[in-house]
Amino acid sequence: MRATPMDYDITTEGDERRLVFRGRLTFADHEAFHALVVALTEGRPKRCAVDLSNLDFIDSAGLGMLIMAHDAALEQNIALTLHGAQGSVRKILDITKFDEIVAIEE
Amino acid sequence: MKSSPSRSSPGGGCRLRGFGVPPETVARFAEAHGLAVADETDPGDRVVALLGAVDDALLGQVLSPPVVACFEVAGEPEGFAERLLPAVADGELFVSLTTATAYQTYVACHFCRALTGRAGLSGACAGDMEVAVHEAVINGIIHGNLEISAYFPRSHREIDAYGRTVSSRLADPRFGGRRIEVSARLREGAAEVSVRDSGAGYADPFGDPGQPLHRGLRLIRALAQSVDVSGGGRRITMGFAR
Repeated sequence: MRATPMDYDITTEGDERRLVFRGRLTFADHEAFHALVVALTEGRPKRCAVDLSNLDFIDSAGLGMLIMAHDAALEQNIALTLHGAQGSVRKILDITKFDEIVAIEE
Repeated sequence: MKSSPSRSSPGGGCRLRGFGVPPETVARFAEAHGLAVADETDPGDRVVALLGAVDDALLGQVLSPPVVACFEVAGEPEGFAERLLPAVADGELFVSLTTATAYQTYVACHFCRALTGRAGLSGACAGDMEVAVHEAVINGIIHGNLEISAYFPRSHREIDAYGRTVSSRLADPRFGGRRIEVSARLREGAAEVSVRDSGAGYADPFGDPGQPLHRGLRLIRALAQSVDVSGGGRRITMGFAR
């Protein structure tokens, strides 16, 4: 089984921007994250939905990057929510009580 | 009839095999450490892999039986005789990579998958172990070998500057050439995984309950059944129930 690096898509439907992560979101992905945050909040959509259902693995830096995206969205009055975390990613969000920092919707 | 190296010899009778390294390099290691070279038809049951250019595909391919240890051939062979061979002789799984390679590959993922295959770990245990080992590896790379004391930035506006610091340290052989070692031993009912860096060391962050831990260390403490810091802060050993 291959270890799949992080990849993402950003799309817009009406007032909502949708960010879909795939693979593994880890420390090394910080190199791409500033551009990701700029693209995510560009044009000030009303909402940002971050789809984690295809994310296989996340580390503490990955959590830090989700907080960065949340804070950047909040600065522009954009409501950012996380969706669809499963398996190991779900467990990491749960044990870090991540829903106290970023809204998680089922 | 082929002679079989004794288990009392260095590395417990393991043999050497090169992956992307010249045969003369394998022969040089074999001579220097009194080891036999594995041949294609009879590799033996315990092989130490000497790795040249390392990527995820190679790590994923190599870390399966009969390979019991991987050593990236780059710079000085630090730790090969002092730690790798004794660990292998003791039945441990062992990987030694340069910091630059450990940063560019999912070493914790490959290591834990290899260990899971050998130890019959449950999926939940393997998942917890992979996150904890990955956090220990990143901690050893950034705060240990690269000697970057700053924590991961809070704002995306700071992340590019932080990334430039990481990149410049990785490119500097004084930091990027240091080694990260991951090793594991199986005990009755438990697996122990250690991550060792070659940095300046630091005070045991788990030793003072009043001291706040950063998020990565909190994850390690939450996911491992036991955590022990030794070697002046350069080695963290995590226990997991099997």
